[in-house]
Parts: sequence; C-alpha cells; structure tokens
Amino acid sequence: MDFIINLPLITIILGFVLAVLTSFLNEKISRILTLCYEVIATAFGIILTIYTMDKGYIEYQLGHLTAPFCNQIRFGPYESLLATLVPTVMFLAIIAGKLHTKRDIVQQKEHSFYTLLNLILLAILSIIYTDDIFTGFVFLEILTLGSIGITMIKNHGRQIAAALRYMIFNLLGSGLFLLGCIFLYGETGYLSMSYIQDVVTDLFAQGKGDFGLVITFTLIVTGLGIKSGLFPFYFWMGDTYGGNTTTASSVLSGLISKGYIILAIKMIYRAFGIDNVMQTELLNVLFVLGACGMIFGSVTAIKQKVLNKMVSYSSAAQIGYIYLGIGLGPAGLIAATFHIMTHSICKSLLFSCSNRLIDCSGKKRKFENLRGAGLVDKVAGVGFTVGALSMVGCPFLAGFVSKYLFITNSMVDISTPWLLIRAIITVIALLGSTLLNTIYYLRTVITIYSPVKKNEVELVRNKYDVGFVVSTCLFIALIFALGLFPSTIIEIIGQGIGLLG
Amino acid sequence: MPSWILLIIAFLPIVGGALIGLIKNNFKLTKILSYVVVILTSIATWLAIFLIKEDKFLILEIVKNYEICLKFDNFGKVFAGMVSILWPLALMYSFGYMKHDARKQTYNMFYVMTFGVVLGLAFSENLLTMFCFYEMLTFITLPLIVHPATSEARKAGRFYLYFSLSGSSLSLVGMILITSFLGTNSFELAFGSTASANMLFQMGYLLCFFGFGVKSAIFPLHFWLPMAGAAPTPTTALLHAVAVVKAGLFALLRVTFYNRGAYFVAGTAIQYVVMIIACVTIIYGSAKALKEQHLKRRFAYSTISNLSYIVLALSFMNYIGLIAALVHLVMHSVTKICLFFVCGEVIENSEAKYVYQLDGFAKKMPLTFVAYTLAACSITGVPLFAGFVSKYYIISAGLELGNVFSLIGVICLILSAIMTAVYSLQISFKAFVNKPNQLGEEVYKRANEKSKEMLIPICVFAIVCVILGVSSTWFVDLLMNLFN
Repeated sequence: MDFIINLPLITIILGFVLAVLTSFLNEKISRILTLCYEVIATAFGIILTIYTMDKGYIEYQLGHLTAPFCNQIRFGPYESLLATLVPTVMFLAIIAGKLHTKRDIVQQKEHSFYTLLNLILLAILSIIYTDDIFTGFVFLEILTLGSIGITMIKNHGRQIAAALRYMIFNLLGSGLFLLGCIFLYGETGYLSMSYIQDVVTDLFAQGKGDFGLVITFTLIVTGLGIKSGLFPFYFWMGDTYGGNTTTASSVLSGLISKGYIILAIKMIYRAFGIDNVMQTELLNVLFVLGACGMIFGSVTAIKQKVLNKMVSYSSAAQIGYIYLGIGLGPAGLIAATFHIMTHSICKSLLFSCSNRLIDCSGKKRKFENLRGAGLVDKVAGVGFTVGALSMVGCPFLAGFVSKYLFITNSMVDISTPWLLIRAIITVIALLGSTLLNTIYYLRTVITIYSPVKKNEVELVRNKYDVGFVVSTCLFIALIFALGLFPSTIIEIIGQGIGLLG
Repeated sequence: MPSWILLIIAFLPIVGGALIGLIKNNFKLTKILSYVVVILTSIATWLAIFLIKEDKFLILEIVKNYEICLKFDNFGKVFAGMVSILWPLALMYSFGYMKHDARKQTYNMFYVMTFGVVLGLAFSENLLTMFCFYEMLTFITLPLIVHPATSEARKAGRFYLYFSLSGSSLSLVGMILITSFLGTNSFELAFGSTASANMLFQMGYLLCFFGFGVKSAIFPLHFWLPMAGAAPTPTTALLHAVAVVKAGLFALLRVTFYNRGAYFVAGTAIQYVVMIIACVTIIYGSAKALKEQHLKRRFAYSTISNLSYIVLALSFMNYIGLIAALVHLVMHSVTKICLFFVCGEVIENSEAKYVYQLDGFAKKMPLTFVAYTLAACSITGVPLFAGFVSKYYIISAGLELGNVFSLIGVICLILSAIMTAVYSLQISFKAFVNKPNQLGEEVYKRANEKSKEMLIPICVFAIVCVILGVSSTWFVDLLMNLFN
C-alpha cells in the first residue's frame, strides 16, 4: 500500500492542527502558517491527481473496520483535481488581499481570520474527499460557521446585517440537508454513499423509488442549492460577497459556494446514483433553475450601482451556469466542473482587482467615481479586464472553453424532443447571459479606462503591493493556461466523472 | 518561405505597436517607428504573398478538432494584400488628423496593433482561428472608438461591443454546429449543391451568418455602425473601409465558400433568407443615406448598403458571385476610404459636420473635392470608375443564377445605384456649383487643405479608383485564375 493514499487524511488533520495553532499565535505567524498549509495542500492535490489518474479511485478506511462500519474516504481524479484548485485559489486570495485584511480587520482579530480560513479549507477538502453523508454534514456545518465568521469579521454594521441574512439562509439550507440525510438513512439504513447508492438502485429497480426518495433528493439538493445561491435564493449575495474584505469576498464567492455545489454533485453521483436520478425530474429542475439564474442573476447585476455588488451578483449568474451544467447530466458535468474552476479563479481575481480600483477612487464604490481608476492602478485595471473578458468568453481565456463545453455538451444527445429543447434553451440562456455579462462587465472596463480631467474626480494612488501584483499575475496566468491548454484538465475531469459513480 | 513566418508578420505590428505605446513625450520618434513597423509589415506581407508555401502551421490544439492554425491561401492573400496597401496610407492620414490630440500616443498604439489582428484574420487556416482574431479585432478597435472620451463616444463603444459580442456568440454556436457536422473546421473551397441538406448544418450556417453579419452591418444588426461615427475619422475610415466591416464580410465569405456553406445551403430556403436580408439592407441603407444630413452618418449608411452588395453577391453562392464579392470588397474599400478621408479633412479643418454647410467648399479645397467627385462617381458606379466593374459582376452573377430572388436582388442594386448617385454627387454639386450660404459661413472661413498628410492619401485613393475602373480586366482575370 502506497503512502500517497494517506495524503487526504494528512491534509485534513493538518488543517485541524493549524486551526488550533493559529487561534493563539500572532497574525503574522498565522498568515505564514496558513499560506504554507495552502501550498502543502496544493502539492498534495497535484500528487493525488497524478496518482489517481494512473491508479483509478482509492477507498481509504479510517479505523480497522471496513465500510459501512467505518468512516470512509474515497477519492479519484475528480476529487483530487478539485482538492488542488481550492487551496491554490485560497493561497492567491490571501496574498492578494493582505493589505486589505490588515486594514479592514481589527489587529487582535486578524489571527482568528486565518483560523477561520483554515477551517474553511479543511472543511471543503473533507467534503471533497468524504464518502459518508454524515461526515459531509458535519463539515458542511463547519464550513457554514467559518463562512459566517468571515462574513462578519469586518465588524461593520452592514456586514453584520449581511452575515445575519446569510446565516438564516445557510442554516435553512443546512436544516433541509440534515432532514434529507435523516430520510435517506431511514430509507436505506446506511450513511456510506456507496452502500446508499446500492440500496437506492435496488429500490428503484423494485419500483419503490418514487415518492419518498424523490422528496429526499429534493430536500438535499434544495438545501445545498440555497446555500450556494441557486436561483431564486441569491438575493443575499450583494452585501455578503460585495461589502467584505478582499480575501473574504474571494473565498466566499469563489470557494465556499463551490464547496456546497461539490457536495451536491457528490450526493447526486455517489449517494443517489446518476442513473436513478435520471429517472426523476430532479436534473431537469436544476437545469431550469440554472438557466433562470443565468439570466436573472445577470439582470440583478446590471441594476447595481456599486462595483462590488455587481461582481457579487454576477456570481449568481455563474452559479446558474454550473447548475445548468449539472442538470445536463454526466456530459454537462464536465462543463460544470470546468466552470467551477474558471469561476473560482476569475471571481477571486475580479474581487481583488475591483477592491483595489475602489481604493483608487477614495473608497467610493459607485461607478461614476471609478472613471480613470484603471489608468491609475494599472495592474488592477489589467486584472479586472482579463477577468471580465474571461467572464464574457473571449477566446484564449478560460471562460471561452467553459462556454464551448456548455454548448457542445448540451448537444451530445438530441434524440428526443425534450433533449433538443434542452439544448436550445442552453444555447439561448448562454447567449443571453453572454450579452448581459458583456453589458455590465465591459461597461465597467470602459469606465475604468476613460480618462478624466484633472479636477473632475479625485483619484488616489494605491500603495504598491507585491502580493497583489504577484497574485494578479498568477491568476491571469491560470486563466490563460485554462484557456489555451484545457485538454488535460478536461481529460482529468472526464475520467474522474467516470470513476465517480 | 515557411509558414511560421506568418505568425511573426501578424505579431510584428501587435508587439511593435504595444512597444511604441511605451514611448512617452516623443511623438516624432513614435511617428517614425510606427511608419517603420507598418511599412515593414506591409512589405513582409507582400513578400509572403509571392513566396510563401501553402502549408499549415499548427500553433496549438485547444480541444479536439479545434486548432489554432495559420495558412496563407489565395483568399487570404487577396484580403491581406489589400489591407497591407491601405494601412500605411491610413496611418499617414491618421497622423495628420490626430495632430492636435492630447492622447494621440495611445490612439496610435492601437491603430498600429489593429493592423496585425486584421492580418491574422487573413492568415487563419480554420474557422476557430479566424473567430479568435475576429474577437480580438473587436477588443482592439474598442479603444479607437471610445478615444474622444465623450459620452457619445462611450455610448458608441458600448453599443459596438454589445452588438459585436452578441454576434460572435451566435457565430460561436454556429461554428460548433458546423464543426460537429463536418468533423473539421478547416477552410476548403467548395461550390455546388449535390449534397443533401442537413438541418443542423443549415442552422449553423444561419447562426454564423447573423453572427458575422453584425460586423457586416446587415439590416437589423447595423445600428452600431452609424453610431460609431462618434469616433475620430481615421477610425471610422478604418472601420468602414478596411478593417472591421470587411473582416465581417471576409468571415461571411469564408463560411459561405470555404466551410461548405455554398455546398449545403445553395438552393435551400436559407439562401433566399440571406438574399432577402441583403436586398432589404441595400435599399434601407441607400434610403437612409439619402435622407441623412450628417456627413459622416450619410456615408455610414452608404457603407451599410454597399456591404450588402457583397452579401448579395455571396448569396448567389456561385463562382461568379465569389469573384464579384471579392471585386467589390476591394473596389469599395478603396472608394470608401477616400470618401471618409475627405469627410475627415472637411470636419477636422472646418468643423463642418452637415451636408448643407458644404456650399461652395470646392473653392477653398479644390483638390479634395475633385478627389471626392472621382470617388463619388466610383461609388455610384459610373462606367470607367472602380465601382462600375464590381456592380457589373454582381449583376452578372445574379443573372447567371437567374431565379426570382436573384432578379429582385439585381433590381434592388439598380435602385440603390440611383439613390447613391443622388446622395453622393449632391455633395459635389453643392461644393462646386453653389455659392457659400449663411448656414456654412463660419465653417467656410476655416476651410483649407493645408495638411499634406491628409491630402496625399486622398489623392492617391482617388487616382486608384480611376485606374482600377479604366483597366480592371487584369485584376478580375487575376482573381478568376486564383479561384479557378
């Protein structure tokens, strides 16, 4: 037995250790430790991806008993790839927002910010790796607590209100998920996903899989949908994501919402079994809600007068893309997963750049004050432009490949009228959403590059920040890498999805 | 000459332009370097036209069947050859026009960079590569349009983006449909309609038509073009005559003749849809131009109608149609760039923006208006001028196809020619015959043609209009040989 298969567990335990350590160390050491943890987790993720691409999926038991009597970790290329993405983005988000973290958070609290980030990372990683729905629930709650914590860490009136709103929605989601888990346990008698799937398949084969199981599926997916901001539950996004300190915004919209989506994907593919889910209307409902989210999220974003909020509500649209992909079935999941990667990278980049641009205008967040900001802070301007272009789907950038994957994968099978309609809806939703994205993102790009007369608007020159420059460059490099050489990633995702079921 | 040279040629102005943009406070140096870069690129392009081998240069494969790949085929050669002649002159004009602008440095940077992108478009080996350069063109011309930084220019820029990017998403879907049907998206010349029509392919073609049609300003998708008149005149000239709209047409021609469009679509309802849209646009554009008093907008509408001549020619989907489309592509470029340069000179020197202000201008700007009259004759299609030749071929292509729709197209063309005569020669008449009136008193005083940098390109293009009109056979024969 190779040592490599211990790596997921080591990553998770390391996270716990660091979370405890950072809670009493000072902020500088905490930050360094946290960054080290991200690097280690990324490295482990890469190793595991390579290893599982070669060996297939691995089942890893905690304790001496075998499943279903123990807690099991199960990972393949799909999980490993996502487990590489999350710490990478978090690492870059931390170094991008270092100055803002210092500015926005009271010094005594800063180390606990890193504690929360460590908890969030380990929770997402556990969600990715686990094969047990109750473990999933536990880490879901840790993730929820961590995310509420970083929402209100800025200690500003509006943020506390936002955190309360976010908490209500989140706990509602958790409650539904828990209820679903209980039903599932009642119906199948297992907590381990593989065993649940066997029983569910049996039940469907016997024709008993109609009402109870459908309710269970719905509860679980609805709960996770609410938590991740699926249409129509996205109205809390504006302040939660937008008003926060840079790192928190990036992590909240780029990673935490993805954590919930990943759990939803795992529940659908691992616990319910995609073939069983296909017999219900669940995927179609997700598809329709995703398509609605793509349009309505963008419309809400257009209406915003504040840059940050616009970027936040655009997440609603992007989450819509992802759910639309999930709703398209296994082929669409490739697109959805690719878009998870694209979106977490782009969104973090956009948040870090837009906060710098707002600094330029003397912390006025409205669009009219941002005129010329891109000419003052050039790095932020370029970063925002690249992120925006990627969102719009400009060739050579990651967003283009996502768009391509959504279109092609929606057309894989158009043999029945519903499948044809589904493909047409996908295309229309994509076109509409692209147009809306163009409207709000590129309007902003034009605004930040319009020159101003000297006395018209006061623009402040930002403090030079190496971390921000480095992270922006790396984000841009990642976006280009995903846009130019996506075939390896697509292959990993494809193979991983094959091994999920 | 190996094919990888193409990449260097295309990136020479892009990189060169970007580097020139870094120079600060020394406009003389910028000027010299810009000339050097642009002329070098033009020479290299012409060398490539004669010397290059027709083989593929694969840059990278993004996903299966979707490659970024360069190749210089005959069709690309015609386009690249035309562009590389027009660009140095346009650059010269641009220096004259932008002399008093505070941010000419930035403007110049993008002006040079656009050249590379347009060449890249011509060098593309397949639909995806062309699509990528096409998108790049949208983004790189945006700063040129919003350059004046007025709210009008910003609005024009925004609309340009909205239209162009929605169009390119349509063509992306179309491209995916075509590629999934054909299994490849490499360009290959094909005519005839022996194959059975396929629904999926036809949808793809139609989507591509509307997608690339945005830049070619076909009827319901043309609104951005008159708006873009808010940009400085060298940009409008470039947009209208050389780069952007011609890129749209280039893409349309590629999809039609090189991606099996004509092969699968000829004779089906889709072909008639395309023809009808072209006819409507021709009449609409001419009529609007007739009515319009704003000088630049009048020629913007004139461009809209003239572009649809080319769309009409390609909609015949036969061999003569291809030749006619190419001939008009070249003839219209030369003519329209001349017309716009005249507009720009008038606007920049005298600030006259409306047609009714131009009474008696020929006295102050004699050479300019002689050149204008020559170009106006050409765009009308007076025999012995460039425009006549192309109209002749479009009509003969229509008559060769000979169905009801193509005959309607021919009639539209003739109607439009009459309207063109009125709206373009009216200005000559005003300038030469009328006496300066009260409306134009202010602007008349300011009118002059001192700037040689503006006058030379105007005269050159006017002369070219005449030369191409008088002896066109060699040119058409050349094209016919190339695409035989």
